[in-house]
Amino acid sequence: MPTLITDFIDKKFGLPYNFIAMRTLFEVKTGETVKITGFDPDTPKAVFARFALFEGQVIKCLAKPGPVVIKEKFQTIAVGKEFSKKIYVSKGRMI
Amino acid sequence: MDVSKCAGCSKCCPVRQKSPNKKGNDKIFKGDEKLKKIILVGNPNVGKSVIFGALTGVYAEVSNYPGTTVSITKAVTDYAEIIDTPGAYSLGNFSDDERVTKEIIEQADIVVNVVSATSLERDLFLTAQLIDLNIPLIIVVNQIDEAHSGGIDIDFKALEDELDTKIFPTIAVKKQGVAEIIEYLRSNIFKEDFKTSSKITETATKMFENREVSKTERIKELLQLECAHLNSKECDTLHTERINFINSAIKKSIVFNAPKKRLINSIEHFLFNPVTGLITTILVLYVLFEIVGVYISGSVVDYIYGGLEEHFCPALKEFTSAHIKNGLITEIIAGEFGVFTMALSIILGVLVPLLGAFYVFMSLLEDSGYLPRMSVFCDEMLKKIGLNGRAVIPLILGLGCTTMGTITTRILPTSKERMIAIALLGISVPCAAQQGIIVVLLASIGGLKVWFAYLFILFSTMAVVGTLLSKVSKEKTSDLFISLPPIRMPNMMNIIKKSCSRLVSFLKEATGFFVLSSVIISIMNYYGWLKAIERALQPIVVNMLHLPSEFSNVFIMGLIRRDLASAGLFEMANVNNMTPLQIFVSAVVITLFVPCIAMLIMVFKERGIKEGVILWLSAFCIAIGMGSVLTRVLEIIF
Repeated sequence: MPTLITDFIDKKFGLPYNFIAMRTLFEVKTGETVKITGFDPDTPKAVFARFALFEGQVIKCLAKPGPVVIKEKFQTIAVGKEFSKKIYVSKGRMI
Repeated sequence: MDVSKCAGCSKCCPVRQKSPNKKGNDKIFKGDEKLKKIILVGNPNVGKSVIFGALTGVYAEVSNYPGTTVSITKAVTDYAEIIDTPGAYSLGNFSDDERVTKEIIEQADIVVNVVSATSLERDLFLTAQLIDLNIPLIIVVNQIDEAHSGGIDIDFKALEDELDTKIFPTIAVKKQGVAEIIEYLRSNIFKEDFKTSSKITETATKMFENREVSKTERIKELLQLECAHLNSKECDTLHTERINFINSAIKKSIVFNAPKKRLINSIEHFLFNPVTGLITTILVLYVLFEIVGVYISGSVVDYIYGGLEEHFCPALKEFTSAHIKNGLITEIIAGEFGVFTMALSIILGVLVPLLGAFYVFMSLLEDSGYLPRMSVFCDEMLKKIGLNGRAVIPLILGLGCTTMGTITTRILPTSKERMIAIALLGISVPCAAQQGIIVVLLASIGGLKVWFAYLFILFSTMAVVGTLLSKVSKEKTSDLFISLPPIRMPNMMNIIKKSCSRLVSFLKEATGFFVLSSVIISIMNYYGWLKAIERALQPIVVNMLHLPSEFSNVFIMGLIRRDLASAGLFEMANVNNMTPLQIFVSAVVITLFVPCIAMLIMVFKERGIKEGVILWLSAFCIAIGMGSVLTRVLEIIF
């Protein structure tokens, strides 16, 4: 869906950031920069927070050699497939 | 004493007593009760062990991958007992490291929270948890040089105000800033009112308002709130408060400048690319073979061992037969399996140069940050045998010493993964000493392609054993979730220190075994018992494996140590004219043969006697079975 429309719907209905275009980290392509919008409700948030993955954090997908390798400011994190499906991210832009 | 000039030498921080590096966790509770306990706590790979070394003068192994410290290391200085702990991302129940750290903190008088300047957002989560515990705390912000070169500028005064805790910026590898920590601890440790942070979250304050609870109770209640009542309102509030606290501290004290395009980023992309990553792995193996199998064996080993065999051993034999009348003593000193002619010649002439080269090579891989990247690269492959990428670390360390690899399996989160990794280490991972000799033997019969064939057999065995064990265990394999350390130029001083420390540990552990085995085998040889064993093992050695009957001696050595068996094979291949096919089969059989005594004891400790015995018997059957099949297949082909 074009960005302008999804942004409009999110804003109009007071939905979380980029809710309409939300997908999991697993679906992110290499080189994309995305914003974390939420986490799987059945997993303690501390699991992600201890790696500095909070809602609103901007991350870049560096590579996907199986796990998803992401860069958050200066640190690089490898997130396994299952965990990457538990992290919800906004639509992003290619860098 | 001027501590500003020195950061942690033995004069400034006299170490009255030190424990061995790798001690069981239970030992922590048996320290000197009168001494204050200072506990170093922090995320993995932030430099806790370097700080520990600088504070105490005791060398704790330092590497560039998470999980270097798998158990507690402690040293007693003249003002306190200082304890290094395994890295933990939080005080939760997510891994053994975190559970161990949590238990140790209960015993702490002062906590030194080591954080990395390069990943403060991540590390401050643990800091926030520690602050909530209301314990005496100081924070060491390490690796400030790396942060600066990565475009991160930190205002330490502002950070100190935000966290309301004393902060020490350091570059521990250069010992910068460590003297100030020692001075501060020395002058404040005995104060009753050692500073605790006032920045406790509102939720934690309310929880313990008007209540006197012990530290243990406080930790327990806070963790219960965080994990047991998932997504409860209080849990969410506590979490949000902590994140706000971290974000506010970061916002007010850190400036992120746009990082420059650096060579390291290109290297990172190169290593994660499936094609270039694979090429790099093959290249790394090739360089290892060239260094150990060709250069070290072709020049250094030939020179030292050749010299000993040519000049020293014949002279010693001549001397002992002329001066010692007792045949048994002559046999023990200078016989075929003599202490000097076999055990010490092999140790000095073969193992020391091979292991020295191997340890330096491994240390380079560890300190450059390549090892954890291999974890990511191998994750998919290892998933198929019930492990996740992190298992690469114990498996690779097992190439140095399988006993050390067995201890390192503690970094794996599930019992199933630990069981599979230990089985693979016990069955199909050769230790450095064994591998060094095998590389030399294989290089002599056909070079690189024979070594790759040997590796192919080991990897196939690993795949079969891992898959079977994965099917047997019903537990789910955990998913990978690790923070990757930055790619770094290895510090040569640390490489040398680490390699020497490992070599000395090996010599301390192995020399006794080598000498004792040499004495026992010489006695058996003198009284003709070896011949009897040879006859008894003939159905296996000669009929099944198609090897010379003397190979049974190698079996006996292999029961004690695998590297001893390799040394025996090395001697045997030189003395008996074994065919290339026999050398190849023997190399495979002794690699897959039973784990050495030291590893077996560690398996008993980590997994229990039942699993240890099953592992031993399985390794024996697999080695003989694989050897028999391989002999027949190769005989048909060649």
